[in-house]
Amino acid sequence: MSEITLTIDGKECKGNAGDTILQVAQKHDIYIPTLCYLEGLSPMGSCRMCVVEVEGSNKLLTSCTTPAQDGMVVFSKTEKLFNYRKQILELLFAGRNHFCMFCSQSGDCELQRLAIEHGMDSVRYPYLYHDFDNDATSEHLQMDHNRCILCGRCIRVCAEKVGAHTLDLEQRGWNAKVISDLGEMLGNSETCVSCGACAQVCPTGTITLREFVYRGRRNDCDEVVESICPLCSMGCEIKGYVRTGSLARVEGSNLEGPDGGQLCHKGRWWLPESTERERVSVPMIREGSTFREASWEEALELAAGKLKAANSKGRAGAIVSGMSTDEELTMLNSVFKSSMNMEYMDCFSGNVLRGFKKGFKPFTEQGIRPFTAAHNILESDLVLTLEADPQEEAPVSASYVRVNTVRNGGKLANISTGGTPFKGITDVDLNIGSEDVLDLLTKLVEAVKTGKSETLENADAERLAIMLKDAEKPVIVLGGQLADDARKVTQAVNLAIVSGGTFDDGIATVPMVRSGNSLAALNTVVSDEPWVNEVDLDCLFVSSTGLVPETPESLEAMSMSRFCIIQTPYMVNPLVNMADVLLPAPAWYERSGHFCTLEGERRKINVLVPPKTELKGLSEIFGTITEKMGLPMNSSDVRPCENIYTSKVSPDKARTAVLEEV
Amino acid sequence: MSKPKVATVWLEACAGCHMSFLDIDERIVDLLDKVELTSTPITDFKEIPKVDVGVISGALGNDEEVEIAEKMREQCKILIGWGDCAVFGGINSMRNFMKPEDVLREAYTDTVSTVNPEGVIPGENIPHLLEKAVPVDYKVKVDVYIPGCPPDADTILYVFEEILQGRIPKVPSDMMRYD
Amino acid sequence: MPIYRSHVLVCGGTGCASSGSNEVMDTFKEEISSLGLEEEVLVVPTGCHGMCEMGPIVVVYPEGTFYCRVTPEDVKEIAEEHLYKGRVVERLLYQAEEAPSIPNYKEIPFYGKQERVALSNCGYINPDNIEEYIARDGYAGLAKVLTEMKPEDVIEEIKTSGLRGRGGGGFPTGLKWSFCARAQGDLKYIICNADEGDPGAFMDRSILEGDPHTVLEGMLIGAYAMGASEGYIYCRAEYPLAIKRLKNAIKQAEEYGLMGEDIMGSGFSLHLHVKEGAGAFVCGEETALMASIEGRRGMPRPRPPFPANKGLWDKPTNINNVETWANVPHIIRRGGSWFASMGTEKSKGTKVFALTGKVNHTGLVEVPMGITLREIVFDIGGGILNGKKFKAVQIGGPSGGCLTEEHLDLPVSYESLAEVGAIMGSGGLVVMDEDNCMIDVAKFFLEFTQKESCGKCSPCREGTKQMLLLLNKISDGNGTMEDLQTLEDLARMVKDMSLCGLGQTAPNPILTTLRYFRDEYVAHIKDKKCFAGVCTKLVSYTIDPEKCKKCGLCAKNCPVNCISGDRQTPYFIDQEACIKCGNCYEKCPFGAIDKE
Repeated sequence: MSEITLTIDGKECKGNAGDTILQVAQKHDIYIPTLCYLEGLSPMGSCRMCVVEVEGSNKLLTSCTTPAQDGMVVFSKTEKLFNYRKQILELLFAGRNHFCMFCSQSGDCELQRLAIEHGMDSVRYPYLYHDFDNDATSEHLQMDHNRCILCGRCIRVCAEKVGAHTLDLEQRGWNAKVISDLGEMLGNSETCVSCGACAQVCPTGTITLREFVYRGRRNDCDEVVESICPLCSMGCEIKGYVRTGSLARVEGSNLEGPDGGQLCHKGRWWLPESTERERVSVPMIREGSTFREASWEEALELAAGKLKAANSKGRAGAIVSGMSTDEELTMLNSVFKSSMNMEYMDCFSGNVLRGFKKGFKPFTEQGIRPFTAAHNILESDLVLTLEADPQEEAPVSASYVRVNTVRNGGKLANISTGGTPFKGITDVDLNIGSEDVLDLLTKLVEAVKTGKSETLENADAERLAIMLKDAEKPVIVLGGQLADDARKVTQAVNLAIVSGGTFDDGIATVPMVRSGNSLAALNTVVSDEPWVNEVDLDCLFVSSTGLVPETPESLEAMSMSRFCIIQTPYMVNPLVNMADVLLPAPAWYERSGHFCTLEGERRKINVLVPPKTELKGLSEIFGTITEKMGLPMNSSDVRPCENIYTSKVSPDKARTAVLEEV
Repeated sequence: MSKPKVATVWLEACAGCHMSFLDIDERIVDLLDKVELTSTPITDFKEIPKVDVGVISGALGNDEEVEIAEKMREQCKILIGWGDCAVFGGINSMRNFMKPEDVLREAYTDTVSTVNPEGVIPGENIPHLLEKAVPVDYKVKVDVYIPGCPPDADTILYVFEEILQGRIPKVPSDMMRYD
Repeated sequence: MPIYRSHVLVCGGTGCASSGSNEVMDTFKEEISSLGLEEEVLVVPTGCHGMCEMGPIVVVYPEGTFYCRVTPEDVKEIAEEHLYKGRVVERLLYQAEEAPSIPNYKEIPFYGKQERVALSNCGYINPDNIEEYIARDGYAGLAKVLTEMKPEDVIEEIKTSGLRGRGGGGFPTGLKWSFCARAQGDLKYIICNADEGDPGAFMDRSILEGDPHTVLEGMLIGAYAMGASEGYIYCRAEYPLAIKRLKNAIKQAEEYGLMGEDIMGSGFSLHLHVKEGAGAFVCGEETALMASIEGRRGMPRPRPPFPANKGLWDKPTNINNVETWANVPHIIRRGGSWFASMGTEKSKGTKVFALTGKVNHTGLVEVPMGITLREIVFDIGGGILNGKKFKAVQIGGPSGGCLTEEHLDLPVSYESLAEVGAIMGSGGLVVMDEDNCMIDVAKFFLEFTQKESCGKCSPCREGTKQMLLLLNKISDGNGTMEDLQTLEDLARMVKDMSLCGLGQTAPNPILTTLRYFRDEYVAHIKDKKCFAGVCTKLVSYTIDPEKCKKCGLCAKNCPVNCISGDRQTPYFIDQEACIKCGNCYEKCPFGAIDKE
């Protein structure tokens, strides 16, 4: 990257060739007003706020689009530019309904901020008082066209980062309007995934989140804390806006990153709800069909006693959440495995994780990471989804698939029952029964390896084999359903290897593991063989975050166990009714720790809202329990993320594995 | 030397701007040392005398308000507009997106809680509604604009003090608000 | 090949076709057949001759006799008298005011001062027959380039010629080609901008309909010079005949080995596609045009990067206007210096103008640069209609500006026009007389640009609307002097701050009319008068009771029945009810109604 030097407003600035004038200015803390520009999105140059004067050019240039050149002399704050900007702001105010007093965005609004910055104390143009549409058809989002300044940020984020391209313009000039699909209202859109990215980027009060719109402006909030969303294994970086102990809203924070700061419908709506739910506040002990409050001492004494007794007969078990932090999982692993020598520990959705663990084993044994960072989907020229529904399992990965296919010209193929989850953009779609998947995968591996596709009976499958062979950087997305048979997982990784799918960090697969820290759980608390509902337990310990409903299998296991200790933050039925001892837990936003994410990074969770009552975390609880059980609490040297991420051998040296016989 | 005279009126307004002005609390004592308040909504003069500084809060919604604004312009040397309604039209502008007939019908007959079985819409002996509720400067020239809903008391005081120093101020950005 | 003793060229261009020239042509064929002259006389449909106001035009060769306003009824006479007996039909010849009827093409003043280069084949050949084009040295330029010249030589020749973009930008074509030639890339595109969107402009249309091959040859030469192998002609969908002719011409050229793979065995290949526009003036802007070809919404984007480096599908692209491409074969055949011998120092060659408005001879003209406006309006155009007084000429369409009497002796060139605040534009010339109101003119053009604004950037989208509101306010008599200042400030801002040429030039009609006709604006504001009598709200009609003969014709024709009177009482217009339509004024046989 060659370095260039230019002068902006008299200050000497250094930048890299390819930077725009605005980027160089921002690097040097020189303020140039913008409206339609947003980092991460392609610049449009349409609001004309960032226009600058450049010596030697008789035209005014938009600094967000113009490449900076060595020796340029730029002026961004002349009187002429100030007056022109003010005129444009006044035109915008006069054009639509920009009366601030009752707008939810007032105080947060970029249009308002710019107008005040430019000393706009009156509007010299006549107001046009035209009645534009107010689209309230969407359950979650409101689009009030009366406030729209046609900056195009919503269109760009939806097309460039979410890949749905739901929004675009219809008609032209003064009648131009942002519409969904081919002229639909937002609520009737077939492509909208309700992720709320459009609301996040909207600079005015045009697109708002209906549930959170009057909960607190960004500027009103007491704190803005960066953390990680726990709901799926993508681990999207979030900014939590906290106001008087409530999470007023959640936004994605990584604008310049591959996900562009987007969140999914789960993250954006479920997370802020979670500060408002009813909490388990004190330990409770069951008496018959009701509960009575107890002290921590009493509750933990009882729990420890039951666990000890059950464990001595080999009839103790534990199910923990895949959203537990690295630190918690490490501790639990050491308590259950080394201190208690307990055979029966598992994670919710343990079967899926087990499938992946077993399926990946032949490759982890080679010292190679069997999967790659999810955002590498954007670098791929062919994505194959196997029994996956990324929009459900890890929504932002679905955005990557859409963006890669629609914008980057990559190809998309699918093998699943019921057809592709990406309707309309899939090149090859093999709709087959789950029982036939393993066979097809085996044949595909052979076909790609040898170049001969006679064994494939299907023209589409043949096409797929050719596509895989020709692809330079294929990526295979492994759905959770694939993991119901570990051999499918192994065969899928084999397919990636023979197709040349490797990146620097691992083999080119993206496994749809369930929860925020499933990758770490895989490594620690997931047992090698399934046991839930297959063994007779005297005592079962359950730790749940309460963010997603429990599966029927886990609930059954709880009801079948003779004694159940449940630690959970929320008063959620039927979960709490299963407990014999109910312990309050910190909610996801009250703890800190780390997650191993699908993006290939270990990411830090921070406390968003400190706990209001006395809560004990898992380490403290088990510190007491092991003490009462008379067991040492050994420290563990298992480092979940390191183990799961390391590739000791370069991925391109991966060898295919032979399937085990079942 | 006599103190400069000040007159204020409220037109299509909520009185919030006057209340915000009173938020200068005890500083009003100092202010009254320097200015003489003449006709205001509180002092109930019947006529607007010739004054140095006039203040209009509220928008122009009917023809009586237009007349008052024109009278103010005639009688005042410097005319100030207080608040978003006077400066931008404010919340009164919400009715401009509909036809005046629809607005009157909504107000006098259609709302559920209104008891008006004959559907009478007043209009004869009351000021005629303007087609649109507009900012003051649509009809008369305004010299100083103070946006806000309401503007901060400090901002209003700042403007008075500037005028007393002989300047025609513009509200600086760090004191300006639109809500 | 049959040799005919006489050719009858019937103009099939826009103007003549709408005056019925197709019927004239069919009638000629019938008459010639009934006279048994099919082997001797050939009827040829041609492109636009230019003198559209005199259409349908028929030119008989070898004499070059120019017949005007020929109707199907006249055909029999021409066929019998001229074709059969050899006697010219006097009454159908061009009748000039001072001179007797002029039989010969070249002597008609309309044509006398013209120098037809881009239009050289229009009116002479059948555009659907490639062989006629070849017969007039068509594709000889291409042959020369492919056999004797290297790409850099071609660019040098274009540079020598001084050719500048004829679409309005006036950018030196040779220089533009050198940018694209220099750009790195294995795939390059060339584009012909045939989206002629200026209302009333038909220069490009005439070339495309009358001589499509000249454009194709120009593009072939350009593609060779720049290393392009794919090309698009973006033609507006409102020109279906041009599109048909282009597609046909491309097909014929391909059949003759002059287009497609390995042209003339040289190894050079070019594939041209015709892409139809869809009714957006903004798509005449180069980046919006390219977006449209790519299938995206036709909105412009800021430049840099420029199309020469990153254009169609991000590949290096060269885009030129129809007229620019049409000049290229001539430059190559006759030399850049020949082209540069015409015109002024910085504006070389010729320019096609569509001369319209209040002149006696409207139509298409091609003149050497440097000719004065006076010559165009009075010599070629034949002066102002009905002997009225010249007021202004709008040049450059909705992006252009107006020029006044003081500019009549201005030599037409890019520089001279820019100096006085106007632009050459694509070549539209609208002549105005004392009965035109300049505010009305500005309004007309602004209504157009406001409607065509794409809406991407705020200054154009909001600014044109507000400027139009202000103009309406002024023409309705409600304007203030403050409004005039606001209008001027707004116009300047929109001009400087808009993203693309549409917004940047939309204020030009306002700025130029303000510069040269400010007193008219002031009269509309202060006196509330429109002296041209155009702005309806400022015009009032009153009946002079002395002159009124009480015939009642005015009342009968009043659409709002606001005129009262009878056989005894003079008629009277109720001013409150009057909608100022002017019907009564037109209808009064005694001139008893005053308009002021």
